[in-house]
Amino acid sequence: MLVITFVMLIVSAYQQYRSSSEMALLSDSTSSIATHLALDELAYVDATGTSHPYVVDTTKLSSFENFTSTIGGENFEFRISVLENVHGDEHVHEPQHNPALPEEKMNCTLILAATLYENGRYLPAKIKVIAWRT
Amino acid sequence: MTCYKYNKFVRERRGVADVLAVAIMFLLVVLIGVLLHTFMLTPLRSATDRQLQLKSEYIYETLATAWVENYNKSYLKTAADYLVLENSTVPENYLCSSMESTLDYVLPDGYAAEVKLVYKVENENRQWELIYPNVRLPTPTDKQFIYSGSISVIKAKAPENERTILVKATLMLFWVG
Repeated sequence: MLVITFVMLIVSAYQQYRSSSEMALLSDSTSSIATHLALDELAYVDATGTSHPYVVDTTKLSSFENFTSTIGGENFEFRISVLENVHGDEHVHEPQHNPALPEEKMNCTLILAATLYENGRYLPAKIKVIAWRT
Repeated sequence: MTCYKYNKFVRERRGVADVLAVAIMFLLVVLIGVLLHTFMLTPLRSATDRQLQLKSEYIYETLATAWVENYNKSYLKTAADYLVLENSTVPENYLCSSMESTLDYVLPDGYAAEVKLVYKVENENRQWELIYPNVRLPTPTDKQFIYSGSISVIKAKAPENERTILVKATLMLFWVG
Protein backbone atom coordinates (compact mmCIF):
# COMPACT_ATOMS: atom_id res chain seq x y z
CA MET A 1 0.00 0.00 0.00
CA LEU A 2 2.90 2.29 0.85
CA VAL A 3 4.54 1.62 -2.50
CA ILE A 4 1.26 2.37 -4.35
CA THR A 5 0.82 5.63 -2.38
CA PHE A 6 4.43 6.62 -3.14
CA VAL A 7 4.07 5.91 -6.88
CA MET A 8 0.78 7.86 -6.99
CA LEU A 9 2.47 10.80 -5.24
CA ILE A 10 5.34 10.84 -7.75
CA VAL A 11 2.91 10.66 -10.71
CA SER A 12 0.74 13.44 -9.29
CA ALA A 13 3.80 15.64 -8.54
CA TYR A 14 5.10 15.11 -12.09
CA GLN A 15 1.71 16.06 -13.57
CA GLN A 16 1.63 19.17 -11.37
CA TYR A 17 5.19 20.05 -12.43
CA ARG A 18 4.25 19.77 -16.12
CA SER A 19 1.11 21.81 -15.64
CA SER A 20 2.90 24.58 -13.67
CA SER A 21 5.77 24.67 -16.20
CA GLU A 22 3.25 25.04 -19.04
CA MET A 23 1.49 27.85 -17.15
CA ALA A 24 4.83 29.61 -16.49
CA LEU A 25 5.76 29.31 -20.18
CA LEU A 26 2.36 30.67 -21.26
CA SER A 27 2.72 33.55 -18.77
CA ASP A 28 6.19 34.45 -20.10
CA SER A 29 4.98 34.18 -23.71
CA THR A 30 2.04 36.50 -22.94
CA SER A 31 4.49 39.03 -21.40
CA SER A 32 6.63 38.80 -24.51
CA ILE A 33 3.62 39.33 -26.83
CA ALA A 34 2.38 42.32 -24.76
CA THR A 35 5.85 43.90 -24.75
CA HIS A 36 6.22 43.47 -28.51
CA LEU A 37 2.82 45.13 -29.02
CA ALA A 38 3.43 48.07 -26.66
CA LEU A 39 7.00 48.76 -27.77
CA ASP A 40 6.69 48.12 -31.47
CA GLU A 41 3.54 47.08 -33.32
CA LEU A 42 1.05 49.40 -31.60
CA ALA A 43 3.52 52.14 -30.60
CA TYR A 44 2.56 55.63 -31.69
CA VAL A 45 4.81 57.14 -34.40
CA ASP A 46 4.66 60.94 -34.59
CA ALA A 47 4.85 63.17 -37.68
CA THR A 48 8.68 63.26 -37.52
CA GLY A 49 8.82 59.45 -37.63
CA THR A 50 9.84 59.09 -33.99
CA SER A 51 8.40 56.00 -32.33
CA HIS A 52 6.95 56.37 -28.81
CA PRO A 53 7.25 53.04 -26.97
CA TYR A 54 4.63 52.32 -24.25
CA VAL A 55 2.23 54.69 -26.07
CA VAL A 56 -0.57 52.83 -27.89
CA ASP A 57 -1.98 54.44 -31.02
CA THR A 58 -5.77 53.91 -31.31
CA THR A 59 -5.68 54.08 -35.13
CA LYS A 60 -3.03 51.31 -35.25
CA LEU A 61 -5.08 49.29 -32.76
CA SER A 62 -8.33 49.41 -34.72
CA SER A 63 -6.64 48.23 -37.95
CA PHE A 64 -4.44 45.58 -36.25
CA GLU A 65 -4.70 42.18 -37.96
CA ASN A 66 -1.83 39.85 -37.04
CA PHE A 67 -3.04 38.00 -33.94
CA THR A 68 -0.53 35.13 -34.03
CA SER A 69 3.00 34.89 -32.70
CA THR A 70 5.68 32.18 -32.59
CA ILE A 71 7.78 32.09 -29.44
CA GLY A 72 10.37 29.38 -28.80
CA GLY A 73 8.97 27.27 -31.63
CA GLU A 74 5.45 27.33 -30.19
CA ASN A 75 2.53 29.08 -31.87
CA PHE A 76 0.30 31.41 -29.89
CA GLU A 77 -2.82 33.34 -30.73
CA PHE A 78 -3.95 36.37 -28.73
CA ARG A 79 -6.63 39.00 -28.40
CA ILE A 80 -5.99 42.61 -27.37
CA SER A 81 -8.01 45.36 -25.76
CA VAL A 82 -7.01 48.76 -24.46
CA LEU A 83 -8.96 49.99 -21.45
CA GLU A 84 -9.40 53.68 -20.71
CA ASN A 85 -10.90 55.25 -17.61
CA VAL A 86 -13.27 58.02 -18.70
CA HIS A 87 -14.52 59.76 -15.52
CA GLY A 88 -15.06 56.46 -13.68
CA ASP A 89 -16.43 54.52 -16.68
CA GLU A 90 -14.20 52.04 -18.45
CA HIS A 91 -14.07 52.54 -22.21
CA VAL A 92 -12.75 49.55 -24.20
CA HIS A 93 -10.85 49.98 -27.50
CA GLU A 94 -10.51 46.79 -29.57
CA PRO A 95 -9.22 45.84 -33.02
CA GLN A 96 -11.96 45.19 -35.57
CA HIS A 97 -11.00 41.54 -36.08
CA ASN A 98 -10.11 40.52 -32.51
CA PRO A 99 -10.23 36.69 -32.37
CA ALA A 100 -12.75 34.97 -30.08
CA LEU A 101 -11.50 33.37 -26.88
CA PRO A 102 -11.39 29.53 -27.19
CA GLU A 103 -13.45 27.75 -24.53
CA GLU A 104 -11.40 24.65 -23.82
CA LYS A 105 -7.83 25.94 -23.97
CA MET A 106 -5.64 27.21 -21.16
CA ASN A 107 -5.11 30.94 -21.58
CA CYS A 108 -3.19 33.67 -19.79
CA THR A 109 -4.47 37.20 -19.22
CA LEU A 110 -2.01 40.02 -18.66
CA ILE A 111 -3.04 43.59 -17.90
CA LEU A 112 -0.33 46.24 -18.08
CA ALA A 113 -0.41 49.99 -17.61
CA ALA A 114 0.09 51.91 -20.85
CA THR A 115 -0.42 55.31 -22.38
CA LEU A 116 -3.08 55.84 -25.03
CA TYR A 117 -2.56 58.38 -27.79
CA GLU A 118 -5.97 59.74 -28.71
CA ASN A 119 -6.96 63.07 -30.28
CA GLY A 120 -3.52 64.56 -29.71
CA ARG A 121 -3.40 63.68 -26.00
CA TYR A 122 -1.43 61.09 -24.00
CA LEU A 123 -3.88 59.40 -21.62
CA PRO A 124 -3.22 56.80 -18.90
CA ALA A 125 -4.75 53.45 -19.88
CA LYS A 126 -4.29 49.69 -19.60
CA ILE A 127 -3.45 47.14 -22.27
CA LYS A 128 -5.03 43.71 -21.84
CA VAL A 129 -3.60 40.72 -23.70
CA ILE A 130 -5.10 37.22 -23.55
CA ALA A 131 -2.91 34.54 -25.17
CA TRP A 132 -3.32 30.81 -25.77
CA ARG A 133 -1.52 28.02 -27.63
CA THR A 134 -2.80 27.13 -31.11
CA MET B 1 4.11 -21.45 31.89
CA THR B 2 6.74 -18.74 32.40
CA CYS B 3 8.23 -19.45 29.00
CA TYR B 4 4.82 -19.08 27.25
CA LYS B 5 4.18 -15.69 28.91
CA TYR B 6 7.62 -14.45 27.88
CA ASN B 7 7.10 -15.40 24.17
CA LYS B 8 3.69 -13.69 24.10
CA PHE B 9 5.28 -10.49 25.49
CA VAL B 10 8.04 -10.55 22.82
CA ARG B 11 5.45 -11.12 20.03
CA GLU B 12 3.37 -8.11 21.27
CA ARG B 13 6.45 -5.87 21.40
CA ARG B 14 7.41 -6.90 17.84
CA GLY B 15 3.84 -6.12 16.67
CA VAL B 16 3.98 -2.61 18.14
CA ALA B 17 7.40 -2.01 16.53
CA ASP B 18 6.08 -3.07 13.09
CA VAL B 19 3.07 -0.76 13.36
CA LEU B 20 5.35 2.12 14.42
CA ALA B 21 7.72 1.47 11.49
CA VAL B 22 4.84 1.44 8.98
CA ALA B 23 3.38 4.62 10.52
CA ILE B 24 6.75 6.43 10.29
CA MET B 25 7.18 5.31 6.66
CA PHE B 26 3.67 6.53 5.88
CA LEU B 27 4.41 9.90 7.51
CA LEU B 28 7.63 10.13 5.48
CA VAL B 29 5.74 9.46 2.24
CA VAL B 30 3.19 12.17 3.10
CA LEU B 31 6.01 14.60 3.98
CA ILE B 32 7.84 13.88 0.70
CA GLY B 33 4.57 14.41 -1.17
CA VAL B 34 3.95 17.80 0.48
CA LEU B 35 7.54 18.90 -0.23
CA LEU B 36 7.36 17.74 -3.87
CA HIS B 37 4.12 19.63 -4.46
CA THR B 38 5.49 22.78 -2.79
CA PHE B 39 8.66 22.86 -4.91
CA MET B 40 6.73 22.09 -8.10
CA LEU B 41 5.01 25.51 -7.81
CA THR B 42 8.35 27.39 -7.89
CA PRO B 43 8.33 28.02 -11.71
CA LEU B 44 4.83 29.49 -11.43
CA ARG B 45 5.83 31.78 -8.54
CA SER B 46 8.86 32.96 -10.52
CA ALA B 47 6.66 33.68 -13.57
CA THR B 48 4.30 35.73 -11.37
CA ASP B 49 7.27 37.72 -10.03
CA ARG B 50 8.50 38.39 -13.57
CA GLN B 51 5.03 39.67 -14.53
CA LEU B 52 4.98 41.98 -11.49
CA GLN B 53 8.42 43.36 -12.40
CA LEU B 54 7.08 44.01 -15.90
CA LYS B 55 4.02 45.73 -14.40
CA SER B 56 6.22 48.06 -12.34
CA GLU B 57 8.16 49.00 -15.51
CA TYR B 58 4.92 49.77 -17.41
CA ILE B 59 3.46 51.81 -14.52
CA TYR B 60 6.67 53.87 -14.41
CA GLU B 61 6.59 54.43 -18.19
CA THR B 62 2.89 55.37 -18.06
CA LEU B 63 3.64 58.03 -15.43
CA ALA B 64 6.58 59.21 -17.55
CA THR B 65 4.54 59.54 -20.77
CA ALA B 66 0.85 60.12 -19.89
CA TRP B 67 -0.19 63.72 -19.34
CA VAL B 68 -1.73 65.11 -16.19
CA GLU B 69 -5.44 65.66 -16.90
CA ASN B 70 -6.12 69.13 -18.39
CA TYR B 71 -2.37 69.81 -18.82
CA ASN B 72 0.14 68.78 -21.47
CA LYS B 73 2.98 67.59 -19.26
CA SER B 74 3.62 64.08 -17.90
CA TYR B 75 3.23 63.17 -14.21
CA LEU B 76 6.94 62.53 -13.60
CA LYS B 77 8.03 65.59 -15.61
CA THR B 78 5.71 67.79 -13.53
CA ALA B 79 7.05 66.31 -10.27
CA ALA B 80 10.64 66.80 -11.52
CA ASP B 81 9.84 70.47 -12.26
CA TYR B 82 8.88 70.98 -8.60
CA LEU B 83 12.27 69.70 -7.49
CA VAL B 84 14.43 71.60 -9.97
CA LEU B 85 12.50 74.76 -10.83
CA GLU B 86 10.56 74.91 -7.53
CA ASN B 87 7.42 75.83 -9.45
CA SER B 88 5.23 74.41 -12.17
CA THR B 89 2.17 75.30 -14.21
CA VAL B 90 0.38 72.37 -12.50
CA PRO B 91 -0.57 72.98 -8.83
CA GLU B 92 1.07 70.34 -6.59
CA ASN B 93 -2.20 69.28 -4.92
CA TYR B 94 -3.74 68.74 -8.34
CA LEU B 95 -0.74 66.67 -9.47
CA CYS B 96 -0.97 64.47 -6.34
CA SER B 97 -4.72 63.82 -6.67
CA SER B 98 -4.42 63.21 -10.43
CA MET B 99 -1.47 60.82 -9.94
CA GLU B 100 -3.37 59.00 -7.17
CA SER B 101 -6.41 58.47 -9.40
CA THR B 102 -4.16 57.18 -12.22
CA LEU B 103 -2.34 54.81 -9.83
CA ASP B 104 -5.70 53.67 -8.48
CA TYR B 105 -6.66 52.68 -12.03
CA VAL B 106 -3.42 51.03 -13.17
CA LEU B 107 -2.19 49.29 -9.99
CA PRO B 108 -2.77 45.52 -9.74
CA ASP B 109 -5.25 44.47 -7.01
CA GLY B 110 -3.68 44.28 -3.55
CA TYR B 111 -0.57 46.26 -4.49
CA ALA B 112 0.65 49.73 -3.55
CA ALA B 113 3.22 51.97 -5.23
CA GLU B 114 5.79 54.48 -4.09
CA VAL B 115 6.83 57.14 -6.60
CA LYS B 116 10.05 58.89 -5.59
CA LEU B 117 12.11 61.54 -7.34
CA VAL B 118 15.53 62.62 -6.07
CA TYR B 119 17.52 65.63 -7.24
CA LYS B 120 21.04 66.11 -5.87
CA VAL B 121 22.02 69.76 -5.81
CA GLU B 122 25.38 70.64 -4.24
CA ASN B 123 25.18 69.24 -0.68
CA GLU B 124 21.41 68.95 -0.66
CA ASN B 125 19.20 65.99 -1.61
CA ARG B 126 15.81 67.30 -2.73
CA GLN B 127 13.09 64.65 -2.75
CA TRP B 128 9.49 64.32 -3.94
CA GLU B 129 7.51 61.26 -2.86
CA LEU B 130 4.00 59.86 -3.20
CA ILE B 131 2.76 56.58 -1.75
CA TYR B 132 -0.57 55.23 -2.96
CA PRO B 133 -2.61 53.93 -1.21
CA ASN B 134 -1.33 55.62 1.94
CA VAL B 135 0.27 52.60 3.63
CA ARG B 136 3.48 51.78 5.49
CA LEU B 137 6.47 51.11 3.24
CA PRO B 138 7.67 47.49 3.13
CA THR B 139 10.77 46.38 5.02
CA PRO B 140 13.85 45.58 2.86
CA THR B 141 13.18 41.85 3.34
CA ASP B 142 9.62 42.11 1.91
CA LYS B 143 9.13 41.41 -1.77
CA GLN B 144 9.18 44.60 -3.86
CA PHE B 145 9.44 45.35 -7.58
CA ILE B 146 11.52 48.42 -8.39
CA TYR B 147 11.97 50.22 -11.69
CA SER B 148 13.91 53.45 -12.09
CA GLY B 149 14.93 55.91 -14.74
CA SER B 150 15.73 59.57 -15.13
CA ILE B 151 13.66 62.58 -16.12
CA SER B 152 15.33 65.53 -17.79
CA VAL B 153 14.44 69.11 -16.89
CA ILE B 154 15.67 72.17 -18.79
CA LYS B 155 16.72 75.04 -16.53
CA ALA B 156 16.62 78.05 -18.85
CA LYS B 157 18.36 80.48 -16.48
CA ALA B 158 21.34 78.21 -15.77
CA PRO B 159 24.71 78.43 -17.62
CA GLU B 160 24.70 76.62 -20.98
CA ASN B 161 26.55 73.47 -19.83
CA GLU B 162 24.28 73.12 -16.74
CA ARG B 163 20.91 73.61 -18.41
CA THR B 164 19.86 69.97 -18.71
CA ILE B 165 19.33 68.44 -15.31
CA LEU B 166 18.61 64.77 -14.71
CA VAL B 167 16.30 63.80 -11.86
CA LYS B 168 16.33 60.17 -10.71
CA ALA B 169 12.82 58.70 -10.58
CA THR B 170 11.94 55.37 -8.98
CA LEU B 171 8.73 53.38 -8.83
CA MET B 172 8.36 50.64 -6.25
CA LEU B 173 5.50 48.17 -6.40
CA PHE B 174 4.78 46.18 -3.23
CA TRP B 175 2.14 43.86 -1.81
CA VAL B 176 -0.24 45.25 0.83
CA GLY B 177 -2.93 42.58 0.76
